[in-house]
Parts: sequence; C-alpha cells; structure tokens
Amino acid sequence: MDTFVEPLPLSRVETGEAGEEARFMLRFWKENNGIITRDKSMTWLSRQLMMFLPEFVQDDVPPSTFIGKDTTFRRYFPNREAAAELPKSYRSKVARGYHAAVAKEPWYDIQRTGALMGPGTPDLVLERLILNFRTPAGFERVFCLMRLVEDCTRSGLSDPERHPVRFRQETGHCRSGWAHRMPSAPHSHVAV
Amino acid sequence: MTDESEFTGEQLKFLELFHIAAQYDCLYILDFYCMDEFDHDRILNLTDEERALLADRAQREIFAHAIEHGFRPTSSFGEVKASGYLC
Repeated sequence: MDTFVEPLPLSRVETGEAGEEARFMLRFWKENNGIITRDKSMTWLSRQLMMFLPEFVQDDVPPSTFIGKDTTFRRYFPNREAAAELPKSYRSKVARGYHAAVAKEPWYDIQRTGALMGPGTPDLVLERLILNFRTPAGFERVFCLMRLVEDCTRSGLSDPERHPVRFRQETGHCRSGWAHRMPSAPHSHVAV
Repeated sequence: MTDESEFTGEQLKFLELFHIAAQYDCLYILDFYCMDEFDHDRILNLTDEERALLADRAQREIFAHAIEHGFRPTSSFGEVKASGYLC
C-alpha cells in the first residue's frame, strides 16, 4: 500500500484548487501578516481547524490544543483526544509541515496515510494547509486546515488484491504516484 | 446590592474569563470554542449553563495565553493550578 507526504505549491491554494476554505485562510493570513483577531469567517472555519503549540519537536508533531468538531481527526477518531494518540510512525512522517509552520513558513501538502495510522484505521488522501498565527500580543498557535480528498478504504482502492484492475489503471486519487503528477515546488517564503 | 443583582459563581467565572480573553487579545479562542460547542458565535446569547460549559472548555487555552503574558489565576478559579495551563 502506498504512503506518501508530498509538498504542493501554495499557488494551488491561491487559485482555489484546494477549496474555498483553504484559499480564505491563506488570504486572511497574508492580509493580516499572520495576526489572528476576532473574525466571523475564521470563527466559522474553526470547526475544521486543528491548533498546535508552536514547538519544534524532532520527528514529531507538536502537542495539539484545539481540534474542531468537523475535522478529519474527529470524524475518523471520535474516541481520541489528541493528535499525539496517532502512531509515532505517522506523526514522524507528517511532522515536516508543522516544523515549517513553527518557523513561520506557510505549508501546504498532500498525504496518503496508507496503513501508517495503525491497524484497522482508514487509508486516506488528505491535503493540509498549515499556518502560524499569533495574536497582537504575540501568542502563537499553529493552525492546520485539513481536507479529505479521498477515503481509499471506502472506495476499496486500498486493497489492490480486491480491485487489481481499478487500482492499477484508473486515475483515482489513491492511485500510486498521483501526487507526483502534481506540480511540486519549494514554497515561497512569506514573512510573518 | 440586592439579591437580584448578584452574580452566581458560574456567571462570575465566565465574566472573569471573558475579561481575561479581552484583556489579552484572545477573544477569538472563546469564539472558536463557542462555535465548536454551539454552532454559532453569539456568546452573549448563551444561557448561564452554556456559558459555564464554554468557560470550562476554553479556559485552559485562554489561561495559557494570559499566563504567557504575565497573568496569574486567582482563587475564583478554584482548584485550578497555574502550572496546569503552561502546557
């Protein structure tokens, strides 16, 4: 089963290909120089957000402080309290985006979880926009907006033995190498 | 002050948290938790019970912010220990 984490260009967010929510959040971040204040639209979006401490943790994601009820995490792991409860192998694989955000770099990527989240867990294709916000007083949080692109478990594509032809030949998001068809370039630095 | 104008402990706890959030520029956290819990951000329309629930959920994050900027919790937050909010 394929797993990957692949950075994607922020231009994809800016053009709306990553969804209106991601486009809005990136624009809000840029227009406000990374400062978070009360905002109706951000509050509306918050149910889809995860927030993390702005800490660099080697090969790991920082501790989470808020996980909105409409996040992929809540949907697929309703009985887990924090992102730290996911397996270390998975956290290590996806940590790079948080490290970039802690360093105040905007980050956008795509991942396929495969079996990394542990036995019996879903095989998901996810896109993440990760940004570092701070209040006017300087209190920082790393915001992660995650979008479910495809649940390969439900589509049956996670088991190539069951659907060998479809898995190999159709152009689904879960097909091997899908992310590599996407334009991949280093993210532009936007100072916060 | 008459009996009718007195605040309950729950009301005071919420008002103090709201005040701290406003003082330290992190009212957005209260909004986020309100939206997450009640699907709206009309904090002032909440009942006392709903505000108490909101305060319970949001105070850790708001205190973390406030403590980073010099705030020290007072006795009105009961058994809460400052170190518990330092994450």
